[in-house]
Amino acid sequence: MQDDAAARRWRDTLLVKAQEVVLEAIRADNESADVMRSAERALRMAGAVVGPGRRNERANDQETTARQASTHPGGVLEPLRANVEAVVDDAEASEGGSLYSSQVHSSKPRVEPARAHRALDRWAALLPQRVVNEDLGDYIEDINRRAAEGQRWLIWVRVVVAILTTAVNSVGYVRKALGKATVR
Amino acid sequence: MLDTRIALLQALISGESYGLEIIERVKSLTKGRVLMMQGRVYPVLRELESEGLLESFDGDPLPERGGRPRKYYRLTAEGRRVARQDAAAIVGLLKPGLGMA
Repeated sequence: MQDDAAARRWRDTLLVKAQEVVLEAIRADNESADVMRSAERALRMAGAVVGPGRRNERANDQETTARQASTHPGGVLEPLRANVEAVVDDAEASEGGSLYSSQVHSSKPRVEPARAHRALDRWAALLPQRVVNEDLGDYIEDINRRAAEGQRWLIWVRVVVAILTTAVNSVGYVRKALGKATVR
Repeated sequence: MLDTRIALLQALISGESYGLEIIERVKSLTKGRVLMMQGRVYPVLRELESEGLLESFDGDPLPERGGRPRKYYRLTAEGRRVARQDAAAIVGLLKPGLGMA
């Protein structure tokens, strides 16, 4: 019972940290229309497949919090998506509405997975080493392959999926480890 | 849908491997009809290892994995025995579909 409560708390902490890591990576790149658009698309896709969960209580932007409460109640990823939408709106306003224009998006995408690596490296610090080497290592390898193939928009989808699945797998891994320790 | 445990054991009969390669191997062996979720593979591999059906070892750190090593898995003698039993059961299951029943 205590293990379950601890695992739930840890899962919640991981999801909040996941939000912070992704948002920071996105904000750092808010001059790049390509990255913003890719991230928004990734988060829309992730938000569409993730089920209900606890809302993020640590959102410090009141306007964003109000928006997520009114439009996306209950979803784990909804605060993240709402925050990203706010960042996109800000960036779009600062660029005079040119964020989505075809002039900004070249037909030949540039492939730069280094930002994705930085986000995942920061995320890795919160996870068990085995999950980092196995699960996260495979995601990074997969991201590099996709980047080499020019599938740039998929990189941010993979980053979001990697963060979510490694969070879930870490909770499972730690719970099993705790179970073994208790049996002994 | 083919059980993930069975698919992993069958994929490892042909030799040691790691997560991404196992997914590719299963996809290739089934001509793309069985697609495994990347997030599901390692938890099951760890489970099979804890049951004594697999053993694992670290490879060298690789730059394409951000300096992290791959974790390779291979069948133990018990794992090989279980994999053969599973294969026989699958063949039995497939016989009617193949017109062999």
